[in-house]
Amino acid sequence: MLCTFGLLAGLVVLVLGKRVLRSGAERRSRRRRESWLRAIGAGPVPEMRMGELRRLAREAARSASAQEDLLSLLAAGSLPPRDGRRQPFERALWRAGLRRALRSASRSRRAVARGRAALLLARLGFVGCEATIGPLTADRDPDVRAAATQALSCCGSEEAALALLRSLRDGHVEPDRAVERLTAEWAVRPLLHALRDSSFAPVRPWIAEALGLTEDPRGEQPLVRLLGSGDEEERIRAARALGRLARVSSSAALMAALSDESPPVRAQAARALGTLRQPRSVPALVALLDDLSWWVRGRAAEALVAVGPAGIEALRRCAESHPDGFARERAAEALALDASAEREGAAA
Amino acid sequence: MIDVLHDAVVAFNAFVIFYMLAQYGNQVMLICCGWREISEYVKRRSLRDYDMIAGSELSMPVSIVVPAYNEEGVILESVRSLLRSHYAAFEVIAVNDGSSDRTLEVLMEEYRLVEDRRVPRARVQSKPVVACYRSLRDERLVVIDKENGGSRADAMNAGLRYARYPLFLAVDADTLLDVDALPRLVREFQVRPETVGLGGIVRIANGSTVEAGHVTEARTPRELLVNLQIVEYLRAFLVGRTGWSRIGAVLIVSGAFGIFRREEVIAAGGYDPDSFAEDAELVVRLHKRCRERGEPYRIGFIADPVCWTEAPASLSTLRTQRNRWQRGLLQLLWDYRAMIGRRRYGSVGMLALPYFTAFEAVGPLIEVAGYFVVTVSLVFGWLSTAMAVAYFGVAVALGIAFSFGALLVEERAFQRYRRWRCFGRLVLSAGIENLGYRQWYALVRVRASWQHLRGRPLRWGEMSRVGFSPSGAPSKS
Repeated sequence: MLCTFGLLAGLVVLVLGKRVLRSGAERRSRRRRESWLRAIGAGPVPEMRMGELRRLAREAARSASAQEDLLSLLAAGSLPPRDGRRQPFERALWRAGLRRALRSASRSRRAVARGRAALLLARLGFVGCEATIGPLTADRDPDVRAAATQALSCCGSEEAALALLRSLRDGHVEPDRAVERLTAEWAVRPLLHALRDSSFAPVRPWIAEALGLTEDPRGEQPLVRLLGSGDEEERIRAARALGRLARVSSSAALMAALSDESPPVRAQAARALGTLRQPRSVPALVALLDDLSWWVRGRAAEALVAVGPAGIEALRRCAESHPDGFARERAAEALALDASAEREGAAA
Repeated sequence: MIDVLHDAVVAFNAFVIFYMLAQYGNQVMLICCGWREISEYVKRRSLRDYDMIAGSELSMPVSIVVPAYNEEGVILESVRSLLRSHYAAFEVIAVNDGSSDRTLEVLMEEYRLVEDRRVPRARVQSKPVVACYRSLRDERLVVIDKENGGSRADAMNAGLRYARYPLFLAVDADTLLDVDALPRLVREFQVRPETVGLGGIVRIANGSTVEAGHVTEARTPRELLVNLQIVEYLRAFLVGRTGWSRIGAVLIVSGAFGIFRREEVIAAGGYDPDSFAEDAELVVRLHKRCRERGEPYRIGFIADPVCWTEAPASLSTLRTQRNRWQRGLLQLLWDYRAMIGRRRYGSVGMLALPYFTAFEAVGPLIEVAGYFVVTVSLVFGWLSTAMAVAYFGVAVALGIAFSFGALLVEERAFQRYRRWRCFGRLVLSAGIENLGYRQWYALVRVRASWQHLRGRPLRWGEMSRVGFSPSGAPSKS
């Protein structure tokens, strides 16, 4: 019985102790984060506390919890400084051996250490870190792969974009995960380069998708050319991406894609034309209202609503007198939904 | 005669000692596995970019299905909470299961519903759908009005038929989702594509502060019964399910908060409307299907995404709920008895199902029999009072130890209950739980088993709810 009570008392102490310890750790972590911000300061470079910075960096090179704190500050955007203090800040970290420690951690046996090192290297902006992070996108641990992908997008450089594209091509990263990281301006040139490069041919649809998400006009012409590709998936993604770019100059190519043999290409082209809001696309979209595919008919009707008064007027005429029953039905449905939405807007 | 009884009592005592050792051994294994799993999860938290998952239009879209039968009081709060989730692509499908109250009307008034000709996308059996509505106020909301099917499974199947996204999340109408729950769940499917189903933790909201459809501060209420359930839930989720997840043998993904690949569930035939534990039945069926197919798959549990539910505050409601759980478990084990002990079904057949049979289904009976035998032994003088007290004391102490184990995991990983007072209540409840509540619960389960064996029809019963709105006493304390 004594043992039993001893066991219970021990457990109570353990549970309470855990709570106290955790509170202490949280307090220490808060103080450390404050120290980082205090050491950098808000004033000019001479007011920076370099000694304190080097001490904190040395601590981060040694301790995992210090790395976690630094990472949380970086993720929140509080670090690194973006003005003239940036250079002395990086120098302090370099002198404290943080960069060396992180590069060594990227080869650690512990997955968490590898992933954290990748994120820290990228967020601290160490020059040439892409070469260290790139191979981690092929890591055996899925969390490290995801962290390395995230880290490369934090680098925000063309080298990082190329490393991501190579990982995509080699099948180390899921296409959607790579694409969502390649949507910034710094990725456009590498994306255009990869679109031309035959070694990236298997992942061209994904490159097109990423180009669309960048919304950069430089992507328009390559995407228009891709609309004429022999590969259906490439044409689908190109049409969708052109919809995202919303460039009026691509409307002729999109109207031509409305007569593509593939229903998904026709549907995506119709949708893209809707985003362009060009009255001259109305006749071509009306012609799709009696398409064989239900999905294409639906997209065409939605696009006509999106075009504006000219499209809605055409829909009204179709709802009344289109020879095809399905076309009348789709037109009437699109008009009804538009009217409901308008009523709701007016009520709001 | 007395000698025979004496021998039987001695033999039973020996059996109980072995039985207890096996049960406690298993519990220790689960605590160790759960601790390891949670520690790993906590360490990796900083590597995960949930903001990107929440904001990316390339993240996997989710259909959230909410079955509602006479949920007039809570449905608006629940739908509001779901629609405020931080996630780019999702739809909420509220299924009105032929409610006799104003569940459909309150939704129509609040969300300006208009009839929609939505086409079902799957062949899953359910009672006929009367109408399908879409909201003019929020295009992500779809309401399905169907004839009452008499079970949650039937309503879930109707929702499943109309869901259009590759993932579907099942939630109860009396639950509130944490705003960042969806990215945490979806991430697992994106990072580990072999994932078929996943459960998140269900926590009790009674006593917590609810603002704008979300729990802003976790607190414990004053009612002892609810605190006992909070400890019970922590033990079941943080120790039990996390532990089973570590060894790939999760049998229960709570119907109140579980996410699945839609195609897999449809291919498995959807929910079974005849099951009393449709959530567990679906999971075991999916295990069976995936194991027989021989492809790698994962049905797991993660303890971070939280769904808050309202726990029964009265003994009678709690008894009805637990009666259904026990009968559901017995039905499940009987239906899938062919999987028990079969190597083909891996850790599910060799560990989880035998464990649930021996300790969850039969356990309460042995526990109640144990109390009876100890009493008989005392009466006949075959057991000294000191020995009986020691026997009972050890059983209680080990039970308390496991509850403390769950609290320890909670403190290690989440520390949701920040106030010392709330934490103190949980520590006290973990102690008290084994002195009365555990015995009462064992009796409820024995009674449920007896009713099940006699084939007595199950009453689903309706839970009296106070609701989550700030005016509701338990939610805004």
